[in-house]
Formats: sequence, structure tokens, C-alpha cells
Amino acid sequence: MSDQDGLYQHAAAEYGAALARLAQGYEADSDKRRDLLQEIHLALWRSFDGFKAECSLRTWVYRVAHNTATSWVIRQRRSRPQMLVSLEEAGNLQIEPDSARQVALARLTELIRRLKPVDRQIILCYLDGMDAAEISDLTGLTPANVATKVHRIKIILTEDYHART
Amino acid sequence: MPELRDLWQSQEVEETRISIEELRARAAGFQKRMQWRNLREQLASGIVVVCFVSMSMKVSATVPRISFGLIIAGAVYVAFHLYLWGRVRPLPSEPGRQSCIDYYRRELEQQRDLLRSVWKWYLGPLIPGLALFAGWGIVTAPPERRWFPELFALVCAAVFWGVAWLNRRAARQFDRQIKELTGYGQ
Repeated sequence: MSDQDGLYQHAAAEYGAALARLAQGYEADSDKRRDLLQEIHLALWRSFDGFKAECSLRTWVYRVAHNTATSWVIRQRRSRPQMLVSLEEAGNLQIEPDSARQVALARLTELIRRLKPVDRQIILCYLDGMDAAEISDLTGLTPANVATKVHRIKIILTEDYHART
Repeated sequence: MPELRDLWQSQEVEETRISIEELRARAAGFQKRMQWRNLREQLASGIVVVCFVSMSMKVSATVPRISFGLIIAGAVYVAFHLYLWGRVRPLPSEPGRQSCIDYYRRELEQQRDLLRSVWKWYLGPLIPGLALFAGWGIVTAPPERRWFPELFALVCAAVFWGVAWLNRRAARQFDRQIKELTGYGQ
């Protein structure tokens, strides 16, 4: 087995669920989400041909996945134009409710999908357990900037939750 | 409210398992699709060339022949540009090397530049031939039938202006997003 194949298999086993959650944050339509996830896996496998361990495997995997998903968003917006909002505007979004924990998850997912790509990347990384330094390395933003944005979205989501319960 | 990270990570998701063989097959399929797309573009340009060559053979006047020749040259230039554009593809490892913000900016810049330069590679090369043909028609047509080449010139100008306006508007939208992105890192 080549290095490329081995690295991919390791990454797919280790981060398969995280990649599926990431796709969840980018695409609402289940069929298209499956396509996006397959595109991410293909991009990941192809990327390992040039992987030289300049960063951690986790950072590499998330970068490839987020960048592939960003290209996907740009392509999809040409055919399905939808207004994306920044974190500053996200507090005013109206999201349809459902029930308890599922409601909270649905609101969170919907809010994430409406965010502009960089804000979306930050939040998805945060939710998957990355710290500000890791997110900064991945996105190219300063750790302070990342911390501010994470803090802001937590406030928005908490306020949204309490306003509806 | 449940802890956000816990909420997010505990959700049920449908994972994807793709075998290495399948990935290889998909990568090969992607290459084939690209080759097929390039071939289609070349064929479309080929049809334009054949049509105008046959039209130029049917007319004896020099000016329309020259104008058809210019349109053919313009169509070949557009096809060549599309071919070059199709060949410039990022390396597969690039998404892993670039930070998300750099990658996003580069994607937006590429889109903006393609739209912004539409005059240079798409509309511009076709104008000399069309303008010469329309001008010749207006000058040589009898007065009672002059409306036809005039209408032709007007429709061409309106279509070109419309295409350029739509592209410029889309390019400005990309430009706004790029500027917004520049403010992000600060």
C-alpha cells in the first residue's frame, strides 16, 4: 500500500465522523451532502500525494475538507443563490423550531449553514474540539480574532436558545 | 442549553466509506470528464468556424469575407483561452497547504478576474468581425432595407453590453467579498 493510500485510510478512520459533521454544516440537502462528502474524501485522498507533514495530520485533513467545501459553496451559490450572513448579522436569523435537544441541534446547524465561509469554518472547528491556536493555524486568522468570533457565536446561540424556551 | 460542543459531536451522521479502488476510479473519471468538457468546447468552436468558412465561401464581396475571417479568428481565440483556462488547475495538495482564508480569497479572485476580463477574452475578439460585417451591411444596403443591418448591429450591441454588464456586476460582488475578507484577518 502506498503512503497516499495508507494516510487516507488512517485519516478516514480517524476523522470520518468529523468530516460527515462538517458536510452537515455546509449542505442541507441530504443527496447533495452525500456528494459533498464523497468529494471531500476524494480531495483528501488526492491531497495525500503531496503531503509532507508540514502541519499535523488533523490540520491537513480539516484544511482540505473546509477548502473543498468552500469551493462547493461557491459553485452551489451560482445555481442556488442564498444570502450568507456574517456573525454580526446572525443574531437576527429566524430559524424554525422543533423539539428540545433536536431543536437546539437543528438551530445550530441551520445557523452554521447560513454563515459566510470563514465564520462557518471557525465555528465548525470550534465545535469539533479545536482550540483557538489550532483554528488560527487552519484558517489564517489571528488567535485573538478566532476567540472573539467563537465568543460571539456562543452568545448568539445561547440568546437564541433562551428566547425560545 | 446543552453544551454546544457536546451537542454537535453527539449528533448522528451518515459516514462515507470509499475504497481506494473506488477513489482511483473516481479520480480517473474526473480526468475523463475534464477531457470530455474540453473536447466539447473545441467542437463548439469548430462548428462556428465551419459555419463561417462555408458562409464566406458563398459571398464574393471582399468586406464580408474579411469580417467572417475576423469572426473565425475571434472564435479560435475564445476557444484557445477556454482551453488554457481549463488546463490551469490547482495541484491536488493545494487545499491542504493553504489556510482557509487564503484559499477562499484565491477562489474569489479567480472568479472575479475571469468575469472582469470578459471583454478581453470573450466579447472583444468577436467585435471587429461583427462590427465590420454590420458596418458593411449598413453602408451597402439599399435605403429601404437598411433597417435590417441596423437592427442586427443594435441587437449585437445590446447583447454584448448586457453580457458585459452582468459580468461586471458579478465581478463587483466578488470584489466586495474579497475586501470583506481582507478585513477579517485584522
